[in-house]
Amino acid sequence: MIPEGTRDVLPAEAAQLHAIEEILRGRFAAYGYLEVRTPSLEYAETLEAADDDVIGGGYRVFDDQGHVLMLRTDMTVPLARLAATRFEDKPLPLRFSYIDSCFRPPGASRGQDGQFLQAGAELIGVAGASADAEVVALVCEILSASGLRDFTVSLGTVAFRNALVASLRLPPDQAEAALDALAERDYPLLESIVSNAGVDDDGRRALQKALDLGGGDSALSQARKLALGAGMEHAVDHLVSLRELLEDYGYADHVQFDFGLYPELTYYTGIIFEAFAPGVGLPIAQGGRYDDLLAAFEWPAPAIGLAVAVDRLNMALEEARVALPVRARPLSVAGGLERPQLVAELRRAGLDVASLPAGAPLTLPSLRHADGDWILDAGTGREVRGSLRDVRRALGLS
Amino acid sequence: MSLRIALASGVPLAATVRLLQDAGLPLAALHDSQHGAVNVLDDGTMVLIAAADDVPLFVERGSVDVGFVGKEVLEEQEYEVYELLDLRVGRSRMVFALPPAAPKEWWDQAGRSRVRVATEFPETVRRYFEESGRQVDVVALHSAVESALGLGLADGIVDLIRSGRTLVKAGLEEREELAHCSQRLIAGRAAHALRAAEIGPLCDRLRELVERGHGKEVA
Repeated sequence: MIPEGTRDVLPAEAAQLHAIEEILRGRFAAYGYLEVRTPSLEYAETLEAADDDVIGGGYRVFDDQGHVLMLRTDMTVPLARLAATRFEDKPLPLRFSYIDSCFRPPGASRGQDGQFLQAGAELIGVAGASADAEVVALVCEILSASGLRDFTVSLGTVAFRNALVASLRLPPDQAEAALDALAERDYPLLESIVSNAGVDDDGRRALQKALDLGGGDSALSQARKLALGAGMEHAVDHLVSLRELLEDYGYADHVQFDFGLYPELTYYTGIIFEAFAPGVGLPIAQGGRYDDLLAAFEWPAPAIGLAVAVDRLNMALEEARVALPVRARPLSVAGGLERPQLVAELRRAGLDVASLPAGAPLTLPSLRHADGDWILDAGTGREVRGSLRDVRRALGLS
Repeated sequence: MSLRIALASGVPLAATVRLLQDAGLPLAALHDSQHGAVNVLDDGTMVLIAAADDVPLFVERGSVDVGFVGKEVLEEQEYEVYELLDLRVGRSRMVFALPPAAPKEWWDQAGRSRVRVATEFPETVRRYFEESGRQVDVVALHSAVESALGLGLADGIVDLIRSGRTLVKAGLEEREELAHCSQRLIAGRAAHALRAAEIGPLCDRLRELVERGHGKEVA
């Protein structure tokens, strides 16, 4: 009935998603990120500019002029286009947020629906640890504000990985294969590439140690010791400053380091992060720095962004039994359709009302009028009888 | 919370269990090794026995933290899991085999543009022949791949072999080797981040055993 990888969202879940979206909008606004919307269809070449198989591998259609269009597979690239073309001469930094659906053919990236809701923020025009810290703090703030207590943000850096592979001095094609194996986190494959290339035992042990590096502050000091060359030292120093700033934001406890972390998308150039919560196998939020992407739109500027997978966040909240501020189901009022004035009075009293024709079977919760009293049946087995004030109180509205 | 582990049922299970026992897991108490059996060990570790094909899914979705499964399964289905270690047990080779009478360069000489290949690993086979520019008609079966030939369903097979006896019995001859397979330790992305304190030491102990040559004799 509907295409593979898509789904209908029914009222109860839609209400939950709405509640989450409102929380996210509130946090984006609190950090000064202005909401924008972009078209679902972009020119295919816009998304192809990211030079990434997943982002360039979306659903394509032709327009009536024969141009190739693509359903957006990602929001960061359209926002980079928007910033580069519409805000070219505006003072930096720019802060944008969005909540919108992206589309990827099923199988393009596993564990992802063909259409999925993303909520994200992009900070454009500032480089450095302080900008990185704001975005990581915003991820933590969003997850906390949604009611999640138990979550972890893993932080890594592309720079460390690139420096690590460079230090192995592999021939170019094997260096590329090594980076691919790292991206897949296929360590046995990496091991065989490295040993076939003749890297000695010391080199292999150093690599293994670097990949296993993870955890709290001690991981940073170990990484500092392991660092081979200035590139890696610089990458570790950057994470140390980031860690200090996150302490000031009050979110250091939620953050850990993972030097084996590698981004799924190729446009990342600096720090990368993934957020996890119990009960959900894949990241509920992720992001990172992408300092070269805007240059693809002829407007070079440093940038960093985050994206929350709203459906996965909803799963995590369900798993953690977090009650979202969901608007209650409307009261059904028999005969309401025939008596607009009566219903208007209820709505003025702040009640959500679904009018039914007289004689129609009532769905719960229901409200009816008898002998000058209002009678509320909320489905709890006990009716509440009294004034509208009593009804409001019983519904927890006053 | 203790670690949750999925083990692939089937031939390599015994070797994997031995390796895990040597790594310190109290697996002697594994009372049920049927499909779908959930065992809770003395130290609280949960051990699920699952069909090999299902192990990566349990791991990807976070229903278990780590899994032990053959490389052939990971190659066939591209799950988002981390592959942390080659355990070097349950070793086998994936080979392309034909009847001895079949021509060496089938694609040129048999007067057919494509060869019918029966296999339990359709995606792997499709990729392998595609990369070398040869057309195949993949006959995807769930078992009894060898008998597909006798019944005229296929011209050749791609299958996992441990000793080669099965091929001889089926009157087949190995022509090409597609891959070396063995059991792998895989971890879910969330588990890798949230349970690093448990997964890291387990991985270290296993790596040490593997590097000392554990499992060589049971290959």
